[in-house]
Amino acid sequence: MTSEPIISLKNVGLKYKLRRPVNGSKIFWALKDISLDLYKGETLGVLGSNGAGKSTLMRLLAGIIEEDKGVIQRQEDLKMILLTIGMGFENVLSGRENAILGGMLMGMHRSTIEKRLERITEFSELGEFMDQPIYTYSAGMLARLGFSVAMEVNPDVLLLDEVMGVGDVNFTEKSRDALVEKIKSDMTVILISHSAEHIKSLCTRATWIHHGVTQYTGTVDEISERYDHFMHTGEGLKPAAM
Amino acid sequence: MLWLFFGLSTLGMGLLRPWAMFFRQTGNPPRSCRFFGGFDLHEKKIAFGELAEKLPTMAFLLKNPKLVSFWRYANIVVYKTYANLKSENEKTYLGCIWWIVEPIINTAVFYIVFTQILKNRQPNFTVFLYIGMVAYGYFSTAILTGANAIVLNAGIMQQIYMPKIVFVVISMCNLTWKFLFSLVVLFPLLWLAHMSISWTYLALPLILFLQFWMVLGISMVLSTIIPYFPDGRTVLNTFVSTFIWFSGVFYTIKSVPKQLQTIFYINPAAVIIEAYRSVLIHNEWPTWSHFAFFFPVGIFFWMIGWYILQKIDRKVTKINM
Repeated sequence: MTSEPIISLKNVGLKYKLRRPVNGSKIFWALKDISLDLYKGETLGVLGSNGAGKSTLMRLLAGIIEEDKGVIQRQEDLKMILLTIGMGFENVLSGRENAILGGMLMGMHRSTIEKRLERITEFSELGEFMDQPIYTYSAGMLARLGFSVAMEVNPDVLLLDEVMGVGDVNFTEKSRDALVEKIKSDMTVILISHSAEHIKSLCTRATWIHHGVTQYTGTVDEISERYDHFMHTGEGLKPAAM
Repeated sequence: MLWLFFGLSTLGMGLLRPWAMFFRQTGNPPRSCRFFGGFDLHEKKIAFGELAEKLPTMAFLLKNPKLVSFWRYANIVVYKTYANLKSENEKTYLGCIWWIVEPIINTAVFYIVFTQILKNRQPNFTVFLYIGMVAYGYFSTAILTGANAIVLNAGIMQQIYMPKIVFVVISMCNLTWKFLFSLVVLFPLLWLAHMSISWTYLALPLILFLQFWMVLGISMVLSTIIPYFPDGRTVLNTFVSTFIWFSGVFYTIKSVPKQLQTIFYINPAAVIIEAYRSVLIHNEWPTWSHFAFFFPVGIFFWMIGWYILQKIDRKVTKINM
């Protein structure tokens, strides 16, 4: 990579204050020492077991929470969005209105969403139900609407928590395909997962996080091998820095 | 007696229901969401951002990222306010009729207590009381909901970054819309009481603005405290329900002993209520010196609120609300 990273984290740490002490301290560092660079157009996979700090890292990158130490350099006006399904939906509003509301919250202009409403309706296969209040929807329908709206969002960097498929078998495949297509396009994506399989098939580069510390960053094959090895044997962590 | 009450109230609900339906959006398809008979947010292009897109001379404005995000959030405020109002409306049987009925019931209760039991002989007491109740109601609910604005929207904040002030502004816009709605009832009441329209009505937007300005400043400050100090909600509830007795809702501040009046005028609610009354009942201009005092105070609250909101913008989401 020759170009400048669009976002770069250097020794970033983030702490939570707890009500009850853990290991004798009420301060818990969810991220201790995270360093990573993200380049335009790539798909970066973040691997880590449960409790590694993946979700915290996502929230940090999305700008929802702030780091407590270290440096984050972002390109100016970088729009990073964590893909969420059905955010801010109001029960008594119609599917159409909720699509607009959700899309606006995710940073789309209102006129943009209105133009794409046709596509959202078509993709979600809701048809006439778009004009019904969403409390009449089944869980699957709600998920389809949420997913279809989320698919229309085009941020500079898309943050993805696992590759998800929603709804019944048919729609699960469809949504997964749509998502994979989005990832494979030239959009910059960060994908977090606890499974090396996902990362292998979708990402161009990967990084491995364990207990809030970046272990290794490199090619997908190398990192997933290291990660799998560690998950099975418990060996192969980065030697602790002195 | 109780049965009569229930019977009458059910009948009343039945009679009011068509009106609620009238004000509410009617029928499908909600592509055009009619709101309050003709207030059409779907069709209307509210976004100034869109205007700028169309006018090439305004293109330079589009290049300013701060301004672009400002319009983005302004759009969100408008749509979310609309969504919240509609959602509240749909959840109840009578919908927006409650915005009027609630102050009327409150006024009726106090009216009975003051005129029948305490033998108050003040002229125009109904109008006097209604203005006081509505304006104080605005202050109290604004402070309570404004203070909770961040906590109530924690769900959205945990999923996407949004400046926290947006949520405070949304709740204030929501309330102001309802307040305007209950003011509408006031005018027939005024004409029934043989009061006339005068030039002093021109001061109404200004009073409304001062009210909005003060309440927004105060709620901004309070909304930063509640996430860290949830007990504050109980404190505020008590405060709001007792403070009505010091805000000149039931009496005019002019009847308070002279040496105490200054203390009463520090209370913005009291000043606003008095301003409304002087314009609507006495057809007199409000006391400008009070306005001159409260604009800077409002700015002061704004500055404190803004400063703290900036400070906690990406920190408050760490705590569990």
